[in-house]
Amino acid sequence: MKMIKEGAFGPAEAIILLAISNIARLFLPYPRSLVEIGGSAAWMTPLGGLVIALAGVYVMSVILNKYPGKTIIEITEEAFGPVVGTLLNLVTVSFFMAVGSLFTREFSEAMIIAALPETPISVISVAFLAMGLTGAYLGIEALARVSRLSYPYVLGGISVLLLVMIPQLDIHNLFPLFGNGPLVVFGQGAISTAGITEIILAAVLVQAMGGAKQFRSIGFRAMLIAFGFSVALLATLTLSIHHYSLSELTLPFYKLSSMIYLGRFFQRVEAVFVIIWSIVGALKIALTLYGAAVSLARLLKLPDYRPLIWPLGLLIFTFSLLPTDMTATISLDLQFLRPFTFVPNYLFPVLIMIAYWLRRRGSSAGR
Amino acid sequence: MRAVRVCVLILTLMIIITTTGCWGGRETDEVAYVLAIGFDKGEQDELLVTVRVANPRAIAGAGAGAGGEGGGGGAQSTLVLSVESNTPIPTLNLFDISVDRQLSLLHTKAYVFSEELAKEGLGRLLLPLNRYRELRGNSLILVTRGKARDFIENNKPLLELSPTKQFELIRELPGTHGLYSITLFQQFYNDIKSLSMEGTIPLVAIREEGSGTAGMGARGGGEQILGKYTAGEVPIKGGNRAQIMGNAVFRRDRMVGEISGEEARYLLILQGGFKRGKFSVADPLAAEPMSVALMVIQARSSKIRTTIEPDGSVAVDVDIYLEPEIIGIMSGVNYETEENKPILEEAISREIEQGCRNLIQRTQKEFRSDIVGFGKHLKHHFWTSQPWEEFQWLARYPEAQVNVTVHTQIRRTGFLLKTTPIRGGE
Amino acid sequence: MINLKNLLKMISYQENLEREGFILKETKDEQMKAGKDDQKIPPGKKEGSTGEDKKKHGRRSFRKPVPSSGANEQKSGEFDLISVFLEENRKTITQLYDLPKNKDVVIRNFTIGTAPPVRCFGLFIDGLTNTTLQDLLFQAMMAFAEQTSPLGRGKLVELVKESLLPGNQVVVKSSLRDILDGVNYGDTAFFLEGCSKALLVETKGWERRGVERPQIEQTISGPQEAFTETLRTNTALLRKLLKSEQLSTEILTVGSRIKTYVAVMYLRDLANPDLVAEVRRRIEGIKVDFVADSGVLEQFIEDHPYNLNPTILSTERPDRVASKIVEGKVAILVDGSPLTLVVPTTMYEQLHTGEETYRSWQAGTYIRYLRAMAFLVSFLLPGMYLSLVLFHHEMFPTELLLAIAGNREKVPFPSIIEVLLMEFSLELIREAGLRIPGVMGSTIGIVGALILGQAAVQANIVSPILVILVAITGLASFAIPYYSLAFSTRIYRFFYIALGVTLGFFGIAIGLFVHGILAANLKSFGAPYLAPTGPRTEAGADVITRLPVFFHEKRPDYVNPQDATRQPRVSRQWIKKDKGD
Repeated sequence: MKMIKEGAFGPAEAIILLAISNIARLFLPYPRSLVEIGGSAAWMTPLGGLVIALAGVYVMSVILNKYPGKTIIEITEEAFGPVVGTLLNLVTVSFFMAVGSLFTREFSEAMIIAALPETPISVISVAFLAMGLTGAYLGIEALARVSRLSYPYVLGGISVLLLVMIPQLDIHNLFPLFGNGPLVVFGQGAISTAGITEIILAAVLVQAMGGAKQFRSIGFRAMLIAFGFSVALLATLTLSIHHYSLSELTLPFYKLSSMIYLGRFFQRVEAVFVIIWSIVGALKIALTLYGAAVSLARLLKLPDYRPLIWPLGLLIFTFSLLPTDMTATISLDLQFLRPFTFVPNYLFPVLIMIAYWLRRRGSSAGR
Repeated sequence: MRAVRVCVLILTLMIIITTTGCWGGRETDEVAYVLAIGFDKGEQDELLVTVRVANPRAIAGAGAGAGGEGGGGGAQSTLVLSVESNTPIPTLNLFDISVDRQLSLLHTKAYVFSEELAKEGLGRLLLPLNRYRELRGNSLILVTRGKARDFIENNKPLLELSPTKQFELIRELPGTHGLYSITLFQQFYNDIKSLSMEGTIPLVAIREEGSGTAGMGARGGGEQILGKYTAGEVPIKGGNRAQIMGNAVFRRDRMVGEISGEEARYLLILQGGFKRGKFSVADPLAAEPMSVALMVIQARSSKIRTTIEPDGSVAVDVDIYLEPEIIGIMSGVNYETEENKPILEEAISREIEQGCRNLIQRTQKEFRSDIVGFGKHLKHHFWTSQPWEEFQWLARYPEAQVNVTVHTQIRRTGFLLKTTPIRGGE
Repeated sequence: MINLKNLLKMISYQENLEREGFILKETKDEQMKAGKDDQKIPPGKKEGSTGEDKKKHGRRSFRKPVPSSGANEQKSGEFDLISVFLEENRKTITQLYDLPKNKDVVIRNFTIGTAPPVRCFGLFIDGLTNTTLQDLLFQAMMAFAEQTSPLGRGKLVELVKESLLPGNQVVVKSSLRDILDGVNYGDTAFFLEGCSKALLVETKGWERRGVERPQIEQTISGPQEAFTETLRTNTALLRKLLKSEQLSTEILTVGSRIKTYVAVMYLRDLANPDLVAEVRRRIEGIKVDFVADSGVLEQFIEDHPYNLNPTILSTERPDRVASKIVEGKVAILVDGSPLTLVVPTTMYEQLHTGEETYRSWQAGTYIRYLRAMAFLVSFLLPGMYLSLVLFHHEMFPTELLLAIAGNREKVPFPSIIEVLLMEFSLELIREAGLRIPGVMGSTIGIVGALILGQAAVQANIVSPILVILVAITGLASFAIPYYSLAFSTRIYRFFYIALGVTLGFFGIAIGLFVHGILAANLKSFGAPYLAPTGPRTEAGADVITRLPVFFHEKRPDYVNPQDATRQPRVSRQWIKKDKGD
């Protein structure tokens, strides 16, 4: 089987790539559901998710280290045999596609609500997909470099936003301290925030990132950065806007950026954040498209993944237009996608571990 | 040739894009900017909506042209229009047909509601406004005594070239005098949904010509109080007839009363948001009733401590720290000396304490609404939201026990270190 | 009578047989080529293809035209050997150079003053040679050569070379092609009777421009010399800065019809040998008629010819090239071009000038940040203004917006047309400014820019804000030191304008993303274009923030030289105070 020609990039870029990909969901209606779960303690909800994500990274790194030089696709096939392995890999590919379509739709809707009310959604979706196609075509190396290039502006922009809101923070909004109750906050919040795509994405990209040895440290650091930003953002949100009215907003981050007021001249600068959003959205869509194409190519043992980009991109575009309206999209996100993320990210590694032990036990029993 | 085909493709794309219009790109000369919008109770329909629209051509012309023309050269720098209708936002389309442009609320700095509407409840107006994309969460919200249309029509700021500057300045001014407590749209919206405090909105009014100095709430003890008026009553002659002073007090989303300028100051002091303002206090040592002028600065935020008794009653202790500076002693008594200063400080403390207590009495008995925000500090006692919501603080507020203590420390006495008496022949 | 004839001639119709004048017809070879193309149509196509099809096929196959006198190639193969007989040589030369019509070439017959005297002739091109030097040579051979010569075969040439010719570079050649190449470039060739070899003496000396101040890259501090068009002068300028025996100059030739000499200079113990090999490979792998300038060579050897960003640095300052060679890069000098190419390069390097190197690091850092902002402004500003004014009115402070709106009320055009008008006029002014004769230059500049802008504003064709905007954009693009990069931003600006007009800030973000990813994908001779931020290599000390000179311990990482350290950790040894003193 010919090796797919992937570029190579170092751990610094990998961390930033994964972190930005994870932060992407903060710009969407997603924090609103966290505020509903947590109430005034919404900022605590990612903490439980962080623990689960770190555990997931650890399990995945153990698996990857057992099969050095291979990505998760080949490992699944090896562990489960051709038929079941292929089926599971198809689930992974469809997972990437689902994430891609939903995110395209949500980012396009967000863009319409926030910045371009009169533009038809297909135009914005096409624009996002064109960006994603370009990125996926030019390869993971180019994507990693662009994320490295833009991270001062993205992360710096978010930090500036959080700092600039300091005059408007009201510490009393944090109380009652545990919001809707610690069980709900940590339990439900953990389950909601742990639904990320980066673990499986990193596992597919592991060869380009420098091998399985670095996986654990890259994964840990990326998770820490991403969840750290989630906590900071949710804290600022709760502190500025009371959680009761916060749970009404469609785009909490946008509302936050529209509240900036530094004197008569520096107000309503949320258009600048539109730029940050778009870049993060384009990166995320390019990454999921790339992940889907590479997984499918490895699955089908093709020498190059590039021919698959165009049809997969078209599929993502079509699927993104399927949900009927914004509320349907959001409920689809919450009820379908969040549980679905647990399957390839957490369930598969556990299954592979079990299969690995069974096999080892089988082989040691055979001796 | 490949190059030619690529060029043809790009050109076709550009033609397609540009001939179908640019999806929502609106030139600035296709849009009319609403600077202030007012809502009244209509006679035939539900609402009477008034808008003040900017006329950019006149503004630019007045700025760039030779001086002296100003607004009198025929072109007014703003227009005022009003119409009756049912709902706030779709009315904008009605205005479009008269102005021939699309109205945009992107730069609306003030939302003015009339007293009548406020008394009936602002919730049903605020909810649709908050959903609208063009709304600025940072804009002012105001309640007028009388009709909003009169206010908007008669509000003619004379010193500002641009009509929006006035509202921006209004927003900054409480830092210097504290005669009204500013509320932004977003803040008020939060407050009407919050369980821990109720909202207040600054009061504005147009001063009627020739009215006397009939003020509300003439209080016993000290006609020396500066801000005993509410908006519309201050007997200033000349200048802009619009005045802003005092606040309207709300319970849920209904207006239940007004507080005067002085009481607004006490409100701010209690909340810790008072920065500085010029007070006048009755002179304790003077022979005749005279006043001492002070620049009062709130040094530290007020400390509010709350305790909840097991039987559910609440006790609140408020400590206020003030650091006034003497800026004028009419009686000539030498307050800068060691013996006299504490007397003055004592007088100040007592007066302000009394004022605060009166205000709190009024909010408890008359308005029955917690506008200071003690509930926010009470939240600290609860660990989760459930019990806090069951506690129903706002219903318990009238029974709460509130104690106010003021600590005053006069820091500076201005340019004069000593006041010597006036001497001379008889 | 005559007058009647003239009258008749005036009123009657005289056919003008010469109306078409001179037509440049196809030569016989080209007709043959077109005929051959017909046979090249693949059999799958149907017969009776229209003339249009034929033309299309003719255009599709990128065929390089063979010189119309293709017979020449065959001839020169036969005649590549020098004959022993002087007469034959003379005849060959006369035929090759088309003497006596070709007046540039001179054949000087003379006799060498040995005993017995030997007949020979000298061949050179008038105007390319240094006449003083040639006089010395002729003098030496004709007047001072009085000694008996062993007239052995082949020994005569050696004798002349060793003892008689005082020129400082004398080579013996036996191939006529080499002789012709040398003579064409200014050498003098001497053909001797009875020798099948000829001598080439280096006598180059033509009118050339002296070393002047740099025209394009002016700095306040640092050396003020610039390269000229002569290859030897340029290599000498570099040699006098880099006085090392490790500095190698390899001379390659490019061009099949006209040879151009290309010098590749690098430090042998520093430059990565793979890099040098790659440069050599690319230059030798070019098959072209004539390379006129280093710019043409650059376009032939660059990695990404379709991308707007330049991936090769070309400069006219020897001090800049010298500092880059010391970093481990390779310089390519093309004869006849005052611009030298340096590879590999990154985008950040193209934004550096000598101002920062020769002055304090604080000034350098400040200028660099200013330049970075100018770089961004030069392509983003019009697009962002348009997207703000059309889509995001809320971002302006209200008073500014009302001022802009007020000024725009008077303008009859939509914003996009305004911007395009102003941009177009600015580009016109720029192009015109390049070609105005020096005398009127500054006057017309003032006329063009000031009065055009002022009059346009007063005629209410554009709003004054737009004039300021376009002027700032123009100034910002002049602040970019590297001309090709500035040019690419001029073109990108239009893309951003188109994107900003259709999709507002989202369009700008799309542009930034695609621009960034295309730039991040570029490679310049193996070095990533956006190092050290693209791929995170070791942070250089001199990318945007310039650290003090004593911190520049390592060479830039992406060059991968043989020796990465250039300074020890403590480069200012005088800081260390003696202990115990």
